[in-house]
Amino acid sequence: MENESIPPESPVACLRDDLTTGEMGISLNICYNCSTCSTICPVALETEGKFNPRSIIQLANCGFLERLIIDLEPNVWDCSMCELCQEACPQHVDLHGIFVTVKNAAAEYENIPESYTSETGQVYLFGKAVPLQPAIVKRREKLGLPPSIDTSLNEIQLLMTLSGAKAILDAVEKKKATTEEAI
Amino acid sequence: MATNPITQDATESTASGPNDFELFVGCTIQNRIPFIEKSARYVFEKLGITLHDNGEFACCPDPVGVQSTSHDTWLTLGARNLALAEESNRNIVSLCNGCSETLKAVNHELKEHPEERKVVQSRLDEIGKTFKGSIEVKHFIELLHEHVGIPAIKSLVIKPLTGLKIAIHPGCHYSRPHELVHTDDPMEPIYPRKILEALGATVLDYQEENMCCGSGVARNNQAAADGMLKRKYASIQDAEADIIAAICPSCYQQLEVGQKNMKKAYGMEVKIPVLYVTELMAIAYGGKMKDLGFQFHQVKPMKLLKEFGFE
Ligand code: SF4
Ligand code: SF4
Repeated sequence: MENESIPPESPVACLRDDLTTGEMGISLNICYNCSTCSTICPVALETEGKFNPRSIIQLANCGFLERLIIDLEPNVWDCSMCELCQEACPQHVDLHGIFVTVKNAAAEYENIPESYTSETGQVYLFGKAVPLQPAIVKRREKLGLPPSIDTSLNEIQLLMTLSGAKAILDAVEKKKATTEEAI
Repeated sequence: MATNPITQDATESTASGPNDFELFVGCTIQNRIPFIEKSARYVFEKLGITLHDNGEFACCPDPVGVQSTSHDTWLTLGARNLALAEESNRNIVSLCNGCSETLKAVNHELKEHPEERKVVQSRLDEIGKTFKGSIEVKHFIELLHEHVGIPAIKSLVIKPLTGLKIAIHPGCHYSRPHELVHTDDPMEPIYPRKILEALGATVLDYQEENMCCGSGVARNNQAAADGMLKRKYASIQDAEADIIAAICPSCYQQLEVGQKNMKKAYGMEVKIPVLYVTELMAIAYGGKMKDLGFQFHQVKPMKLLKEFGFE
């Protein structure tokens, strides 16, 4: 499954760097495979262990990164981000940080559920994850609340372009268009 | 608050006393369930806390949706919001678990990691903003418990919630990860419970109190989210709760909408109104349910609350 000829700038290679250096590298290395995280995980319970945090930590630690971010086996997007594992881990492994890093790398391969990109897309288009609807304008008025003001959208769009989310949104859009064309 | 009407405008915009806070309403409350904002403003005004609005605030951004897409973007947009509040020199109070986690975590990360901060600042330079790391972020529950205090919260009660049996759902990001949000007990939070007890309510113990509402996993695996909610509702029903109390808009919505899903997925009947802690405070302080917008709840609470003597 692991490919010998991974280009050095690819998300897999970057992920490998992130996971083997600095605090995250140390964090992964101190996992002693006790499964406390998987025992407390509510999604592991629901999926009968098909998704479980320990297996993601183990695959990351052993370098099976393509399986994690390309095959999505197990599917890191099933994590509910409840942070119970983070608190319960006796070794203080930074499961939260590692999962975010893995998800970000999967997103670079456009392996990200639409529920995530559509929300990030709303932030790009409106500055808010939940844009204002006419009905709510009226409801706010009726409740005597101040009007909901729009933020400086040009600033938000510039920052999202400079920090990477825009490129991901564009790549996902493009992939969607190509898939639809193929159909 | 006694303010000279002539200078009121000037003091309003620059005041940064211990009871002045920048209100971070958050997208979901502001633009979808604004009645929660109503109750929060009502309660904080009674308690002598001045909330200042900042129309420039954007999405916090969401610690699940946006952070999982791009941690870099999440850090950068979070830093912009913090920089905006820093200009007013006031601490932030957030009405949402997600917003408070993001703003606290970004504040923490940028202060602890100078390298990351440099990169983020170089982006903020492009819009003429500076992150200084000079303010604090508080979840409203934390503000109520630590700053206002239980005796003051209790002193304003004119209609106690006597006899009302409440199951609290604290939600995850209020107290976890503890190293980033620094409040309450991470696994068994008690501040919300102490506030509701001060209002005279009976706060129940139930098995799944600290389990996630499932809104995160629902983005990718509805069946797992339904299963989690089923366990949660069953244990709330076992405890015979009249209502569920929430402190996060995502959890609030998940816990309301989920009741319909239970019917579809399992044929399970669940009909338990969900109320925000600030809504419960507001009625205990004499607020009228209609003025507070209780009619906009999906699972209607007014009939039940009328039985307990609330108007
Ligand atoms: S609880 Fe911590 S040490 Fe144990 S398996 Fe999970 S990550 Fe590893
Ligand atoms: S944060 Fe994710 S992996 Fe950890 S316990 Fe919660 S759902 Fe499971």
